[in-house]
Amino acid sequence: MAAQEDTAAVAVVAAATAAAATAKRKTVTDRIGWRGFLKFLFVVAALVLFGAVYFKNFGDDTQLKYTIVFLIGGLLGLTEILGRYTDSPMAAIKSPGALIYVLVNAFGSVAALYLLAEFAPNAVSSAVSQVLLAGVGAMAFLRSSVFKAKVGTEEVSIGPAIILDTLLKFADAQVDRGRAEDRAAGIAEVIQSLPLAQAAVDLPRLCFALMQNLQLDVRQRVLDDITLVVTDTKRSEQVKVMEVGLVLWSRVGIGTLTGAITLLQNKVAMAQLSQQPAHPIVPPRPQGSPQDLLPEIERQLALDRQAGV
Amino acid sequence: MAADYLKESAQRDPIGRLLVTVHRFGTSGRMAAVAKEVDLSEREFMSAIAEAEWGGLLKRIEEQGAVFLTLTAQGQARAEAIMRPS
Repeated sequence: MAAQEDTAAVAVVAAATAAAATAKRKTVTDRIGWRGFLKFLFVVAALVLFGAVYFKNFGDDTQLKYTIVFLIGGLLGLTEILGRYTDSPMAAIKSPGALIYVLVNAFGSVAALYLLAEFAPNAVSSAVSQVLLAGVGAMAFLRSSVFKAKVGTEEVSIGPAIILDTLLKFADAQVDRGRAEDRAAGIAEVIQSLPLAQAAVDLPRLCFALMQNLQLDVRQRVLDDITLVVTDTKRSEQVKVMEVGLVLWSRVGIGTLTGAITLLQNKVAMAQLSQQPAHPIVPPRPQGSPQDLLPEIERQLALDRQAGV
Repeated sequence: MAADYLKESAQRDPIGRLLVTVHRFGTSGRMAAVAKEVDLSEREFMSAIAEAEWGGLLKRIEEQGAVFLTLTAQGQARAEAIMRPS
Protein backbone atom coordinates (compact mmCIF):
# COMPACT_ATOMS: atom_id res chain seq x y z
CA MET A 1 0.00 0.00 0.00
CA ALA A 2 2.80 2.39 1.01
CA ALA A 3 4.79 1.35 -2.07
CA GLN A 4 1.79 2.11 -4.31
CA GLU A 5 1.44 5.56 -2.76
CA ASP A 6 5.17 6.18 -3.32
CA THR A 7 4.86 5.17 -6.99
CA ALA A 8 1.84 7.43 -7.44
CA ALA A 9 3.70 10.31 -5.78
CA VAL A 10 6.72 9.76 -8.06
CA ALA A 11 4.42 9.71 -11.10
CA VAL A 12 2.70 12.93 -10.02
CA VAL A 13 6.07 14.63 -9.48
CA ALA A 14 7.20 13.38 -12.90
CA ALA A 15 4.01 14.72 -14.50
CA ALA A 16 4.47 18.08 -12.74
CA THR A 17 8.12 18.23 -13.85
CA ALA A 18 7.08 17.43 -17.43
CA ALA A 19 4.39 20.15 -17.31
CA ALA A 20 6.87 22.68 -15.93
CA ALA A 21 9.39 21.71 -18.57
CA THR A 22 6.68 22.10 -21.24
CA ALA A 23 5.92 25.62 -20.07
CA LYS A 24 9.63 26.46 -19.99
CA ARG A 25 10.38 24.93 -23.39
CA LYS A 26 7.65 26.74 -25.30
CA THR A 27 10.15 29.49 -26.11
CA VAL A 28 12.71 27.10 -27.66
CA THR A 29 12.25 27.33 -31.41
CA ASP A 30 14.22 28.15 -34.53
CA ARG A 31 11.24 29.02 -36.67
CA ILE A 32 11.23 32.46 -38.34
CA GLY A 33 8.36 34.41 -36.82
CA TRP A 34 6.36 37.07 -38.68
CA ARG A 35 7.81 39.78 -36.46
CA GLY A 36 11.40 38.83 -37.25
CA PHE A 37 10.63 38.38 -40.93
CA LEU A 38 8.98 41.81 -41.20
CA LYS A 39 11.88 43.38 -39.32
CA PHE A 40 14.29 41.72 -41.79
CA LEU A 41 12.23 42.95 -44.77
CA PHE A 42 12.21 46.46 -43.34
CA VAL A 43 15.99 46.49 -42.91
CA VAL A 44 16.54 45.15 -46.44
CA ALA A 45 14.09 47.69 -47.92
CA ALA A 46 15.81 50.53 -46.02
CA LEU A 47 19.24 49.42 -47.24
CA VAL A 48 18.04 49.10 -50.86
CA LEU A 49 16.43 52.53 -50.66
CA PHE A 50 19.56 54.06 -49.17
CA GLY A 51 21.71 52.38 -51.84
CA ALA A 52 19.42 53.54 -54.65
CA VAL A 53 19.45 57.15 -53.42
CA TYR A 54 23.22 57.10 -52.89
CA PHE A 55 24.07 55.66 -56.31
CA LYS A 56 21.63 57.96 -58.10
CA ASN A 57 23.18 61.09 -56.59
CA PHE A 58 26.81 60.33 -55.75
CA GLY A 59 27.81 56.88 -57.01
CA ASP A 60 29.38 55.83 -60.29
CA ASP A 61 29.29 52.60 -62.30
CA THR A 62 32.49 51.22 -60.77
CA GLN A 63 31.24 51.64 -57.22
CA LEU A 64 27.93 50.04 -58.19
CA LYS A 65 29.75 47.08 -59.76
CA TYR A 66 31.88 46.51 -56.65
CA THR A 67 28.83 46.80 -54.39
CA ILE A 68 26.84 44.25 -56.40
CA VAL A 69 29.81 41.87 -56.53
CA PHE A 70 30.25 42.26 -52.78
CA LEU A 71 26.58 41.40 -52.26
CA ILE A 72 26.69 38.38 -54.59
CA GLY A 73 29.81 37.02 -52.86
CA GLY A 74 28.27 37.57 -49.44
CA LEU A 75 25.04 35.91 -50.52
CA LEU A 76 26.98 32.84 -51.71
CA GLY A 77 28.68 32.61 -48.31
CA LEU A 78 25.34 33.01 -46.58
CA THR A 79 23.71 30.19 -48.57
CA GLU A 80 26.68 27.96 -47.79
CA ILE A 81 26.17 28.55 -44.05
CA LEU A 82 22.43 27.91 -44.42
CA GLY A 83 23.06 24.57 -46.11
CA ARG A 84 25.80 23.47 -43.75
CA TYR A 85 24.16 24.05 -40.36
CA THR A 86 20.82 22.34 -40.78
CA ASP A 87 20.16 22.09 -37.01
CA SER A 88 19.43 25.80 -36.73
CA PRO A 89 20.39 27.84 -39.79
CA MET A 90 19.09 31.08 -38.26
CA ALA A 91 21.22 30.71 -35.14
CA ALA A 92 24.23 29.88 -37.33
CA ILE A 93 23.71 33.00 -39.45
CA LYS A 94 23.53 35.22 -36.36
CA SER A 95 26.93 34.06 -35.03
CA PRO A 96 30.07 36.22 -35.44
CA GLY A 97 31.82 33.36 -37.25
CA ALA A 98 29.12 33.47 -39.95
CA LEU A 99 29.74 37.18 -40.43
CA ILE A 100 33.45 36.46 -40.92
CA TYR A 101 32.58 33.69 -43.39
CA VAL A 102 30.24 35.96 -45.34
CA LEU A 103 32.77 38.81 -45.35
CA VAL A 104 35.60 36.53 -46.55
CA ASN A 105 33.38 35.36 -49.41
CA ALA A 106 32.27 38.92 -50.21
CA PHE A 107 35.80 40.36 -50.21
CA GLY A 108 36.95 37.34 -52.25
CA SER A 109 34.47 38.35 -54.94
CA VAL A 110 35.58 41.99 -54.74
CA ALA A 111 39.21 40.91 -55.09
CA ALA A 112 38.26 38.80 -58.13
CA LEU A 113 36.61 41.81 -59.78
CA TYR A 114 39.64 43.97 -59.02
CA LEU A 115 42.00 41.38 -60.54
CA LEU A 116 39.72 41.04 -63.56
CA ALA A 117 39.68 44.81 -64.09
CA GLU A 118 43.44 45.19 -63.56
CA PHE A 119 44.86 42.25 -65.51
CA ALA A 120 42.22 41.48 -68.13
CA PRO A 121 40.18 44.64 -68.63
CA ASN A 122 39.19 43.69 -72.18
CA ALA A 123 38.51 39.99 -71.54
CA VAL A 124 34.92 40.66 -70.51
CA SER A 125 33.52 43.87 -71.91
CA SER A 126 29.98 43.86 -70.54
CA ALA A 127 29.60 45.24 -66.99
CA VAL A 128 26.90 42.69 -66.16
CA SER A 129 29.14 39.79 -67.27
CA GLN A 130 32.05 41.20 -65.24
CA VAL A 131 29.88 41.38 -62.14
CA LEU A 132 28.54 37.86 -62.61
CA LEU A 133 31.95 36.42 -63.44
CA ALA A 134 33.60 38.03 -60.41
CA GLY A 135 30.66 37.42 -58.08
CA VAL A 136 30.02 33.78 -58.90
CA GLY A 137 33.40 32.79 -60.33
CA ALA A 138 35.50 34.31 -57.56
CA MET A 139 35.13 31.34 -55.29
CA ALA A 140 36.22 28.99 -58.06
CA PHE A 141 39.22 31.15 -58.96
CA LEU A 142 40.29 31.84 -55.39
CA ARG A 143 39.97 28.16 -54.57
CA SER A 144 42.19 27.10 -57.46
CA SER A 145 45.74 25.88 -56.93
CA VAL A 146 48.84 25.75 -59.12
CA PHE A 147 49.94 22.43 -57.62
CA LYS A 148 49.45 20.33 -54.51
CA ALA A 149 52.28 19.64 -52.06
CA LYS A 150 52.23 16.70 -49.71
CA VAL A 151 52.89 17.77 -46.11
CA GLY A 152 52.92 14.67 -43.92
CA THR A 153 49.84 12.72 -44.94
CA GLU A 154 47.89 15.80 -46.02
CA GLU A 155 47.79 17.38 -49.47
CA VAL A 156 48.16 21.16 -49.31
CA SER A 157 47.04 23.35 -52.21
CA ILE A 158 49.65 25.88 -53.30
CA GLY A 159 48.08 28.89 -54.98
CA PRO A 160 45.32 31.39 -54.23
CA ALA A 161 43.38 28.55 -52.59
CA ILE A 162 45.72 28.37 -49.60
CA ILE A 163 44.72 31.85 -48.35
CA LEU A 164 41.00 31.56 -48.93
CA ASP A 165 40.80 27.97 -47.69
CA THR A 166 42.54 28.90 -44.45
CA LEU A 167 40.29 31.92 -43.89
CA LEU A 168 37.14 29.95 -44.71
CA LYS A 169 38.20 27.06 -42.46
CA PHE A 170 38.80 29.54 -39.63
CA ALA A 171 35.40 31.18 -40.10
CA ASP A 172 33.67 27.82 -40.47
CA ALA A 173 35.30 26.57 -37.27
CA GLN A 174 34.11 29.72 -35.49
CA VAL A 175 30.49 29.08 -36.57
CA ASP A 176 30.80 25.39 -35.67
CA ARG A 177 32.16 26.15 -32.20
CA GLY A 178 29.43 28.70 -31.61
CA ARG A 179 26.77 26.17 -32.58
CA ALA A 180 28.46 23.54 -30.40
CA GLU A 181 28.26 25.86 -27.36
CA ASP A 182 24.58 26.57 -28.02
CA ARG A 183 23.80 22.89 -28.54
CA ALA A 184 25.71 21.86 -25.41
CA ALA A 185 23.76 24.40 -23.39
CA GLY A 186 20.43 23.38 -24.91
CA ILE A 187 20.49 19.60 -25.28
CA ALA A 188 20.64 18.66 -21.59
CA GLU A 189 17.68 20.94 -20.85
CA VAL A 190 15.68 19.78 -23.85
CA ILE A 191 16.22 16.05 -23.52
CA GLN A 192 15.72 16.08 -19.71
CA SER A 193 15.76 12.59 -18.21
CA LEU A 194 14.19 10.72 -21.10
CA PRO A 195 14.87 6.95 -20.91
CA LEU A 196 17.05 5.55 -23.72
CA ALA A 197 14.25 3.29 -24.97
CA GLN A 198 12.00 6.31 -25.54
CA ALA A 199 14.78 8.49 -26.92
CA ALA A 200 15.96 5.90 -29.44
CA VAL A 201 12.67 4.38 -30.58
CA ASP A 202 9.69 6.64 -29.88
CA LEU A 203 11.39 10.03 -30.24
CA PRO A 204 12.58 9.61 -33.87
CA ARG A 205 9.21 8.13 -34.87
CA LEU A 206 7.38 11.03 -33.30
CA CYS A 207 9.71 13.57 -34.93
CA PHE A 208 9.19 11.92 -38.33
CA ALA A 209 5.44 11.92 -37.80
CA LEU A 210 5.49 15.62 -36.87
CA MET A 211 7.57 16.54 -39.95
CA GLN A 212 5.54 16.19 -43.12
CA ASN A 213 8.17 16.43 -45.82
CA LEU A 214 11.26 14.75 -44.42
CA GLN A 215 12.82 12.76 -47.25
CA LEU A 216 13.10 8.99 -46.98
CA ASP A 217 16.90 8.96 -47.32
CA VAL A 218 17.22 11.57 -44.57
CA ARG A 219 15.03 9.45 -42.29
CA GLN A 220 17.15 6.39 -43.03
CA ARG A 221 20.35 8.31 -42.28
CA VAL A 222 18.91 9.54 -38.98
CA LEU A 223 17.86 6.00 -38.02
CA ASP A 224 21.31 4.68 -38.97
CA ASP A 225 23.01 7.34 -36.85
CA ILE A 226 20.74 6.56 -33.92
CA THR A 227 21.46 2.83 -34.32
CA LEU A 228 25.19 3.56 -34.25
CA VAL A 229 24.83 5.62 -31.09
CA VAL A 230 22.56 3.18 -29.28
CA THR A 231 24.55 0.03 -30.10
CA ASP A 232 27.90 1.56 -29.19
CA THR A 233 29.52 -0.47 -26.43
CA LYS A 234 31.61 2.36 -24.98
CA ARG A 235 29.08 5.17 -24.49
CA SER A 236 27.14 5.52 -21.26
CA GLU A 237 23.34 5.55 -21.39
CA GLN A 238 23.08 9.28 -20.55
CA VAL A 239 25.52 10.19 -23.33
CA LYS A 240 23.57 8.00 -25.76
CA VAL A 241 20.32 9.81 -24.93
CA MET A 242 21.95 13.20 -25.48
CA GLU A 243 23.59 12.10 -28.72
CA VAL A 244 20.27 10.78 -30.04
CA GLY A 245 18.82 14.20 -29.23
CA LEU A 246 21.67 15.94 -31.07
CA VAL A 247 21.25 13.72 -34.15
CA LEU A 248 17.54 14.57 -34.27
CA TRP A 249 18.17 18.25 -33.57
CA SER A 250 20.45 18.42 -36.61
CA ARG A 251 17.79 16.97 -38.90
CA VAL A 252 14.42 18.16 -37.62
CA GLY A 253 15.35 21.33 -35.72
CA ILE A 254 15.03 22.24 -32.07
CA GLY A 255 11.33 23.20 -32.27
CA THR A 256 10.20 19.79 -33.53
CA LEU A 257 12.51 17.98 -31.13
CA THR A 258 11.22 19.95 -28.14
CA GLY A 259 7.60 19.38 -29.19
CA ALA A 260 8.16 15.64 -29.61
CA ILE A 261 9.90 15.35 -26.22
CA THR A 262 7.07 17.23 -24.54
CA LEU A 263 4.53 14.83 -26.04
CA LEU A 264 6.67 11.88 -25.11
CA GLN A 265 7.26 13.03 -21.54
CA ASN A 266 3.54 13.37 -21.01
CA LYS A 267 3.29 9.82 -22.32
CA VAL A 268 6.13 8.71 -20.03
CA ALA A 269 4.39 10.30 -17.05
CA MET A 270 1.21 8.45 -17.99
CA ALA A 271 3.17 5.20 -18.37
CA GLN A 272 4.59 5.71 -14.90
CA LEU A 273 1.10 6.16 -13.57
CA SER A 274 0.01 2.89 -15.16
CA GLN A 275 3.34 1.28 -14.15
CA GLN A 276 4.38 0.25 -17.65
CA PRO A 277 8.18 0.33 -17.82
CA ALA A 278 9.84 1.10 -21.16
CA HIS A 279 11.30 -1.97 -22.87
CA PRO A 280 15.11 -1.97 -22.98
CA ILE A 281 16.39 -1.86 -26.56
CA VAL A 282 19.87 -3.08 -25.76
CA PRO A 283 20.37 -5.98 -23.38
CA PRO A 284 21.74 -5.09 -19.95
CA ARG A 285 25.51 -5.48 -19.69
CA PRO A 286 26.70 -8.62 -17.93
CA GLN A 287 28.74 -8.53 -14.73
CA GLY A 288 32.52 -8.10 -14.95
CA SER A 289 34.42 -6.70 -17.90
CA PRO A 290 35.03 -7.76 -21.54
CA GLN A 291 38.57 -8.76 -20.55
CA ASP A 292 37.12 -11.67 -18.56
CA LEU A 293 35.98 -13.28 -21.82
CA LEU A 294 39.46 -13.24 -23.45
CA PRO A 295 40.84 -16.62 -22.17
CA GLU A 296 37.72 -18.45 -23.41
CA ILE A 297 37.87 -16.68 -26.79
CA GLU A 298 41.56 -17.54 -27.16
CA ARG A 299 40.81 -21.20 -26.43
CA GLN A 300 37.94 -21.27 -28.92
CA LEU A 301 40.01 -19.57 -31.64
CA ALA A 302 42.72 -22.21 -31.24
CA LEU A 303 40.06 -24.95 -31.27
CA ASP A 304 38.42 -23.60 -34.42
CA ARG A 305 41.77 -23.35 -36.18
CA GLN A 306 42.53 -26.96 -35.29
CA ALA A 307 39.17 -28.05 -36.66
CA GLY A 308 40.13 -26.39 -39.96
CA VAL A 309 38.20 -23.82 -41.92
CA MET B 1 27.34 16.86 -42.31
CA ALA B 2 28.41 16.69 -38.69
CA ALA B 3 26.74 13.37 -37.97
CA ASP B 4 28.83 11.61 -40.67
CA TYR B 5 31.52 11.18 -38.03
CA LEU B 6 29.36 8.49 -36.40
CA LYS B 7 29.54 6.26 -39.47
CA GLU B 8 33.18 7.06 -40.16
CA SER B 9 34.31 6.27 -36.62
CA ALA B 10 32.15 3.12 -36.51
CA GLN B 11 33.73 1.94 -39.78
CA ARG B 12 37.25 2.43 -38.43
CA ASP B 13 36.49 0.92 -35.04
CA PRO B 14 37.71 -2.72 -34.59
CA ILE B 15 34.22 -3.76 -33.42
CA GLY B 16 32.68 -2.20 -36.52
CA ARG B 17 35.16 -4.00 -38.77
CA LEU B 18 34.49 -7.28 -36.98
CA LEU B 19 30.70 -6.91 -37.22
CA VAL B 20 30.82 -6.08 -40.92
CA THR B 21 33.02 -9.11 -41.62
CA VAL B 22 30.78 -11.42 -39.58
CA HIS B 23 27.74 -9.98 -41.41
CA ARG B 24 29.36 -10.82 -44.76
CA PHE B 25 29.85 -14.45 -43.67
CA GLY B 26 26.17 -14.75 -42.80
CA THR B 27 25.20 -17.67 -40.59
CA SER B 28 28.31 -19.71 -41.36
CA GLY B 29 30.86 -17.36 -39.85
CA ARG B 30 33.52 -19.62 -38.41
CA MET B 31 35.72 -17.81 -35.90
CA ALA B 32 38.99 -18.80 -37.60
CA ALA B 33 37.67 -17.76 -41.02
CA VAL B 34 36.56 -14.38 -39.70
CA ALA B 35 39.97 -13.92 -38.01
CA LYS B 36 41.63 -14.59 -41.37
CA GLU B 37 39.37 -12.22 -43.27
CA VAL B 38 39.12 -9.24 -40.91
CA ASP B 39 41.90 -6.67 -41.05
CA LEU B 40 42.84 -6.86 -37.35
CA SER B 41 45.71 -8.31 -35.36
CA GLU B 42 44.89 -11.42 -33.33
CA ARG B 43 44.89 -9.44 -30.07
CA GLU B 44 42.59 -6.75 -31.54
CA PHE B 45 40.33 -9.45 -33.00
CA MET B 46 39.87 -11.20 -29.67
CA SER B 47 39.36 -7.92 -27.81
CA ALA B 48 36.79 -6.85 -30.41
CA ILE B 49 34.89 -10.14 -29.96
CA ALA B 50 34.95 -9.73 -26.17
CA GLU B 51 33.78 -6.11 -26.34
CA ALA B 52 31.07 -6.86 -28.91
CA GLU B 53 29.79 -9.84 -26.97
CA TRP B 54 29.81 -7.88 -23.72
CA GLY B 55 27.82 -5.13 -25.45
CA GLY B 56 25.24 -7.63 -26.70
CA LEU B 57 26.19 -7.37 -30.40
CA LEU B 58 27.69 -10.80 -31.02
CA LYS B 59 27.43 -14.40 -29.84
CA ARG B 60 29.88 -17.29 -29.95
CA ILE B 61 28.34 -20.68 -30.62
CA GLU B 62 30.45 -23.81 -30.16
CA GLU B 63 29.16 -26.76 -32.16
CA GLN B 64 30.92 -30.09 -32.80
CA GLY B 65 34.41 -28.69 -32.35
CA ALA B 66 33.79 -25.63 -34.48
CA VAL B 67 33.10 -22.11 -33.21
CA PHE B 68 30.68 -19.82 -35.03
CA LEU B 69 30.22 -16.09 -34.65
CA THR B 70 26.64 -14.87 -34.95
CA LEU B 71 25.32 -11.34 -34.81
CA THR B 72 22.51 -10.50 -32.42
CA ALA B 73 19.67 -8.27 -33.63
CA GLN B 74 21.53 -5.21 -32.30
CA GLY B 75 24.78 -6.32 -33.92
CA GLN B 76 23.01 -6.92 -37.22
CA ALA B 77 21.44 -3.44 -37.06
CA ARG B 78 24.81 -1.84 -36.31
CA ALA B 79 26.57 -3.72 -39.13
CA GLU B 80 23.85 -2.72 -41.60
CA ALA B 81 23.97 0.91 -40.46
CA ILE B 82 27.74 0.91 -41.03
CA MET B 83 27.48 -0.75 -44.45
CA ARG B 84 24.59 1.32 -45.83
CA PRO B 85 25.96 3.90 -48.28
CA SER B 86 25.37 7.45 -47.05
